[in-house]
Amino acid sequence: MALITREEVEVLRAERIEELKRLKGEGKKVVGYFCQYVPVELIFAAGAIPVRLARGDYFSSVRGERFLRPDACPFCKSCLGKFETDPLYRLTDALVFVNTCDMMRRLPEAVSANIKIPIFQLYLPRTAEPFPNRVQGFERQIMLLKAWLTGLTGAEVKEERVLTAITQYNSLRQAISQIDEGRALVPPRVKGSEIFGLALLAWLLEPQKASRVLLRHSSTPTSTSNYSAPRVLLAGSILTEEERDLIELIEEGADIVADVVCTGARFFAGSVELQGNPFTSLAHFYFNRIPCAYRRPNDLLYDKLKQLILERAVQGIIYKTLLYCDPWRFEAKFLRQNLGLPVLEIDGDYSQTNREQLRTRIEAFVEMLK
Amino acid sequence: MTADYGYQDPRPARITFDEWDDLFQRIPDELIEKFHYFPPNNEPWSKYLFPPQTFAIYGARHLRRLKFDNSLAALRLWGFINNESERLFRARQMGKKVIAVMGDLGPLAVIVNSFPDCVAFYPDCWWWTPFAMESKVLLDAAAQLGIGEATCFSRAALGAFAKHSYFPDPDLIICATGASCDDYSGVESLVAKMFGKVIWVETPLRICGETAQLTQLLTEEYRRVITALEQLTGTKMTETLLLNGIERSNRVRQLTHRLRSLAYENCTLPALETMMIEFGCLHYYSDITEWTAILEHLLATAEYRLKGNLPILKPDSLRLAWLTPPADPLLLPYVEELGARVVATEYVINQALTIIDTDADDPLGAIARSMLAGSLNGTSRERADLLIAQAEMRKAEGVIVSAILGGSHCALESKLIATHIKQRLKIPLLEFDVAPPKGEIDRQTITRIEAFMELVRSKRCQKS
Repeated sequence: MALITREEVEVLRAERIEELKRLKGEGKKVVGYFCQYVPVELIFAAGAIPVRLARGDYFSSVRGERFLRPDACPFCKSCLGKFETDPLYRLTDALVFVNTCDMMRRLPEAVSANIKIPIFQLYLPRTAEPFPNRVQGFERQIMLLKAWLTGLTGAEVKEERVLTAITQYNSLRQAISQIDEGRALVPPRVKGSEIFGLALLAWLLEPQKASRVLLRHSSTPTSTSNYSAPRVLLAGSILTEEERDLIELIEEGADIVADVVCTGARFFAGSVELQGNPFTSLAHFYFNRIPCAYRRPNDLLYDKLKQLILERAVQGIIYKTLLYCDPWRFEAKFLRQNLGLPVLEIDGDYSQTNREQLRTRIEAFVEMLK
Repeated sequence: MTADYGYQDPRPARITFDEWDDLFQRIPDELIEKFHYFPPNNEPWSKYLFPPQTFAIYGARHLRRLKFDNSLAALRLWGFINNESERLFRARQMGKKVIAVMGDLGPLAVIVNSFPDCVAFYPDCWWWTPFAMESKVLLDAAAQLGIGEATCFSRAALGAFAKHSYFPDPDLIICATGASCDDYSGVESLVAKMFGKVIWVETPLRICGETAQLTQLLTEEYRRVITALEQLTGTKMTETLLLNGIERSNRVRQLTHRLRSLAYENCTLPALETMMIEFGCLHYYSDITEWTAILEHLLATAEYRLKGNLPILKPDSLRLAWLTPPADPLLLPYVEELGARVVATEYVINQALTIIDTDADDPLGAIARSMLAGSLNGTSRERADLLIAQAEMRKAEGVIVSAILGGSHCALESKLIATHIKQRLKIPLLEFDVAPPKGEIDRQTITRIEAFMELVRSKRCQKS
């Protein structure tokens, strides 16, 4: 029996959309964000509803080409397209961006030129070495976000509320992390697709409700595969909600026992320190997250990969990148040369036309690992 | 002019490679002997003014296809630019520290050059090499390391590091990231992995305002750079040294401003030479003293032409504004061939042109502010507005936005910028990607440029 099915996720999403409509009617603000570096705790503490916008598909990407060049990131193009078609995107009252890669740095400009909605652009240093000036600079950005949120909601972002939010989100992250430990077992007790599904709920639902759903599901006994399924790690660019197809395709022959994807394990890794100034704690936590490939240096990402490979007995890596996603594409060669495992590289633009070729490549890769 | 050197320039003209070769024979040997890099050194090996054939044999094959300003100052400029690799290897032999500064396009070189016997160079500028050499060697080398063709031509810098023959392995590599593009950040990341250790410098964006806070952040980054250079050189950086370095850089920037103005307003220099002058603000082609002397020579030449009403291009040529430097040097001379002249540019390097405040209490803070004022740190709209202001001032009749297929910032901002400029200026705009190097402009681009020029010309005719 599955921990959580795709259908259940879709039901919860539909319910959440109805709930958001109701809450908006009551005057609540829905704040959309795109990246794992956004301190959701602040949005929550400001009385707004944080919702991660991590959807992306081929049709919305093509739609986005009316605003961007064809060689722009498919995720960014899709984001623009989604604002015209996706009910969740259309419910947002404001957006928070982080200047992660070049595309995400400039996407707010494209959004503000075409969609009239308040935007905050959070500046996170691209350099990952936690020198005091950088972390303090980021903390100052968090304070600017706090002020902007107060302006948006009219509610002061008080320390107590931030601490409450931190506690709730910490619980949520810890709950998923605990379930994720099941992927380390031989055979794994949890599927990668289920972990991605739970992460999705964590950014879609209100944190306490998400925790309750997790608790209910975590008690469900599962067993996903036999001993012979190769154990793979999934890495690369953002995997959108719609890309669960790909995850399931992989799981037809292999177990995804670990990942370093921002919509997967990197999203729920770690906890915010509860002692001391909560804004400082948030700055430290988000600054020091397992780095996305775009951060410099990104050695900690490789350290994490090596750790997961050892701890979870990974046999091969599936490296999925988005077309024109430079930060992840540039790492492919180095990753292949330095991790000492077979790597399957998949580069895509959400198009489904090559699905069967993809299936063949994945099957061949899995065969090779057996 | 150049009477100071006892040589009279011919009447201003754009000349071919062969004409330059002929002209070179007329330059007295004593004059050629005068120009040396790393002055006051005047050793025979440090000459750099040679017949163009010399540089073509060494690999700069595109010289055979370009057109050049025929002044002695411009020939000196080309000799100096084409001699940079040799100069860097020679710097190492002379005991100078060779420092690679990457990604910030301007301010780091000011700091490095403030240290005696340090030579800063910009590997970023090797992006022209595949075009200059009409060769994909460096691009292929970059591809072998993981940066393939869906990326800006700046990946050539990675290939140059891998080949170890375009510049010496640096004594120190300083990589700025934050404001620079993903393509180049990726180059830096792989260079860092290749060499083991680099100094990373955060160059913040201007987007969230708060200049004071961003200045403070950047100043701290620069302090770390200074500490690393002090450890490398054994020289303690003082305020006097730093201010001296700033003043020397400011001199280059002032000269560049004046030259741009004379070129774009008064047709005293062609667009390609003017672009190379502007890019000299990044790293002074690895020798600030001689580069300053060359700029002074160019300025004297341009002012002589202005005074004598001797433009190098017809003042009534079609006036174009150009956004983003074209990676292929053939493009600027080509539009001039078609009867246009460039009157405004936005090459994303104006942080290297900003005059640094020398009255500030904190010189490092002043350098940081100059960086933060640049178009690299701002929005696409600000870039567009910069060009619009110049284009309006100089009555541009058309705008060219050149981009790189796969260049990460081009993909997002080109369309935004083009849309904004079109709305504001209401003049013809051509947006195209620069094709990979192959020794000639591809036919499709030629057709598009020619059609665009026809359009600009017809608009002018309609007005008159």
